[in-house]
Amino acid sequence: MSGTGGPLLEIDHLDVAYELHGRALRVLRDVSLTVGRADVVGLVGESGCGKSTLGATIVGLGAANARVTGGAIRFNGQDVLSLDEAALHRLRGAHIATISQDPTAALNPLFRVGRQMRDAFKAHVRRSRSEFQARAVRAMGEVGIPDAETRLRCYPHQFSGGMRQRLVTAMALMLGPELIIADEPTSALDVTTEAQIVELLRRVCAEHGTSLLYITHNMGVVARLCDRVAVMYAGSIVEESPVASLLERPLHPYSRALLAAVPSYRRRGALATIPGSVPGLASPQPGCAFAARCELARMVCTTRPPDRNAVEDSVVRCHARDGSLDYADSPPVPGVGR
Amino acid sequence: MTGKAPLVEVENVSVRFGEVHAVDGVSFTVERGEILGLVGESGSGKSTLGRTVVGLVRHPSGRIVFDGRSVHEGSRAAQRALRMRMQVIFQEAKASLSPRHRIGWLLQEPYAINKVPKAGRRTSEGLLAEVGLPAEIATKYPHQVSGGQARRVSVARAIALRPDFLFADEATAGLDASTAASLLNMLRDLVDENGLTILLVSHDLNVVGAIADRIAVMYLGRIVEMGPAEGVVGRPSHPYTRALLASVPVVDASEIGRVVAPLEGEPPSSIAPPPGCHFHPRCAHAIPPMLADASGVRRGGTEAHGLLPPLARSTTDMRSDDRLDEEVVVRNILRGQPGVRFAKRSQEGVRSSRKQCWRSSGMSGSN
Repeated sequence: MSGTGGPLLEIDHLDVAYELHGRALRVLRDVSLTVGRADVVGLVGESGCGKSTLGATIVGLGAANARVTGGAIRFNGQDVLSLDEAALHRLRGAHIATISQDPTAALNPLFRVGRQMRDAFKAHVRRSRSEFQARAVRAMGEVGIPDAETRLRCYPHQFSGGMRQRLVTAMALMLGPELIIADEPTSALDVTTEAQIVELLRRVCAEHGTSLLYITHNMGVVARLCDRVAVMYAGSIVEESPVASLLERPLHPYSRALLAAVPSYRRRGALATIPGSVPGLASPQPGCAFAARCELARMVCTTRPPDRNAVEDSVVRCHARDGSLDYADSPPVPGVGR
Repeated sequence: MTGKAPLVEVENVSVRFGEVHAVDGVSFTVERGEILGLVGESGSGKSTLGRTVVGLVRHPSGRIVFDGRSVHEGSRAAQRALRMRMQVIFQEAKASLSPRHRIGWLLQEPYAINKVPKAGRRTSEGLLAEVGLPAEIATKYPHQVSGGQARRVSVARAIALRPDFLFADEATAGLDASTAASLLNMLRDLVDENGLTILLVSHDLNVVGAIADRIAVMYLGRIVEMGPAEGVVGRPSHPYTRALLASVPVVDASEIGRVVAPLEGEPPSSIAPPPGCHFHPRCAHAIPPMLADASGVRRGGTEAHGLLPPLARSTTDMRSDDRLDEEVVVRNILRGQPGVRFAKRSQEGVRSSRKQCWRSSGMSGSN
């Protein structure tokens, strides 16, 4: 898969639905996102917003009842959705590596980690055992696992949680992928261990020019690690901005509310909250999914979904930000907003 | 907190589970009408300590006094009467609510268990209203409500007996930001309006730092630093607190691209904790005499801002060449003047790795 001039990963108007009891629940709606070479992009949102579904769909590992109902995913210019299983197999691991939230679940407890790393290696590369050994030891050294030769002969349970996450990262790096998709890789770790893993990902991605799609609910980690960030709400990306502009001037009312609600030891006192709750998948909204909780909502927001609008370096989906007269002329919604 | 005796006094409490030293000689007080935040990483013993305070862990060594009475001594009836006044919000709200009963029944359970006369009971609907939930929740089973609602139900059940003291164990873990924020606001209101006292245990310094009045930081079974919240997060004294603060991600423009020099390694096993200061194997400031003895506590900074070793322990048994050096470190840390310390320390010929660590530990006056 040779590089082309275009971006590494392009997600274009992607729609994904889960089929449940004969009904189709739309989990991703018109999602567009681009990850360039050596880009570090954060994907944030609350539980159930579809961020993990997006990560899984990129590598063709969506749930059994998930179906792509529209749009395209291109990796290096190649349409990922049209690939057969063998081609997807070549893509995963070698070109797109994934790191999951739970490294324990990613490792088989019955086999030594060296065997598991070799399996991953042999699935893609026909090389000698000594070549594998050299690469595995180098990758483990890079992620800070000391005494790699000995550790290759250990079982997963002999590693701590942080060390297991380092190990899975070493497995991801071993084949030199162009993109790493990390889905909540630090959520189960303590903060000091989390800081170690975040620094590790930052360093290895910078050294190898690897792109990173970092899926998390933790806005603070995104600020520390990422160049750009996409905020998801109820299956849509509502805002995509450089990290600095999101933190200083969030454009979408949801981004702003979410940022204000995150507790911080630097901001003492009453915390801001978002009224209401996330709409269920079974009851889709005709307009903007956030309208019922939005302080800026007007009638137009409840009837028509907003389009993507470029505002400076950002892309935002909000009627209040599209500069048209539809919003300005629209009457307020009775009983909604604040 | 004016001159009144503390609501809870914990004196030199240790808890051992077989070989595991879960809590190791901890002393502190919880003042009336405050939120005391207890923060630490997994395995630090914070939950065990909280459970011991409310009597859920039996037979600790040391003594816990609640409003003048010992929690672990006295007749069963006396202990039960005491425990009515201290309630718990358990870590896993859904697991703490029986799946076989409707929420309305679960909310009346504390009255039944404690044989509260009918006149002293409050309706489930009234309790739900107090935690901001609609009355129809009473007819639902626990699996029919969301995680945030289940958490509020546990709060409603905990306040049913009008307790004086709440132990909230990771009350916001696993909740989305906005849901967690409204729960924290509610706990704050319970304190401010009803005069409740709360021991809030969390692994998240952002949660504790946002609402607690005072903060205690635990590491491997010991409280390594304790003081008013502003002091602990604004002028942290213990190297572990500093490392924790540097590691915590904050939603703030100052966080953008911030390179954290993480603490090295992981907490050692609490089966065989390191001798002396438990933190010394990971501490950049550890010096040989501190490895053996961890008994000294020195008060410094603001009032009641206690500080445990290594930096603030008695210097009497230090080697003479270390004494000057460490004295400077202590004094200047407590004043929050790292720059001065650098200058003085470099005269002492301190290893450059120490300076490196200090500079990158996020303490350079930015807090």
